[in-house]
Amino acid sequence: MMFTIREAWTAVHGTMMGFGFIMFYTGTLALLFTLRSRLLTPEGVQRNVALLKTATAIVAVLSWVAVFIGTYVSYPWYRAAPPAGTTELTMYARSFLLANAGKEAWHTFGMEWKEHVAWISPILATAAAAVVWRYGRGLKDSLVLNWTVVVTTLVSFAAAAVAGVLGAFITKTAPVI
Amino acid sequence: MTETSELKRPRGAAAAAFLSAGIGAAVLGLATVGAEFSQALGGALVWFKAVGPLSGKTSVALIAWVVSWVILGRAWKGKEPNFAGVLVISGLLVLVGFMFTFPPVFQMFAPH
Repeated sequence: MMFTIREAWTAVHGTMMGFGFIMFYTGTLALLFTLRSRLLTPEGVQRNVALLKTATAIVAVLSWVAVFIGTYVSYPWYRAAPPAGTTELTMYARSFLLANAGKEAWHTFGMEWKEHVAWISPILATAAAAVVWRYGRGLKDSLVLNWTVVVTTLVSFAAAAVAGVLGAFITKTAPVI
Repeated sequence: MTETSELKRPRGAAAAAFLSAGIGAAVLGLATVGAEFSQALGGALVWFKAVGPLSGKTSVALIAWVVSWVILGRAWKGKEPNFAGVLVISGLLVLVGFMFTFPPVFQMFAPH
């Protein structure tokens, strides 16, 4: 089984980033929820905060890499216009979707939503990471700050999840090959 | 960075981070609506031809986010702004970003 260059980039953008998102977002939330636990010793809090800083930084970096690859590597292949007179559109995903009745909503709704909302994710993930790095152990004592980072992380994940799920379905309907 | 300094930091830096993120999200939404509403603006937002107007919309949003973060970060450095108020405004701005990047909403602004 061989991947084309386009399929390989799509796999990096979707599968690898998607895997990283789920793993490190989950880790971030688990660490934030347990940070305020009374069961944590001072050494435990210190370790928890160090892991939290690492996890939020990785989430932010992964989300930036994902949106930049998605927008500047995969998306130009997706939206490329076919030469005049082309009837075989499978190499031109957007045109293929728009030309097929019943599939056009994958572009007009699916891709249109995905390509925009995805960019909200790294902005929020970076804000959350910056606050975690700035306040560190202070997040244990500030309920408001802790919960604000939790909510920011969840909303960032929601934006990434919308983009990821739509991307998976669009790729299944009209793969970039 | 010592433990004490982390525990006692005023929340100005956090407020700047959250509010600027809200500004970035809202500008993305407004740029999306603007590009849909005005063909001229949509054309002006084509900063990278292969990507189309998405390149300009996202770049404008990133510039607004970074610039506002720098300005707010300096303005609130070492200060304790009204954190609850900042969070409410940030949340509303993020909501604007989500709402205006939702196709059934921004496509309503397309000229018929």
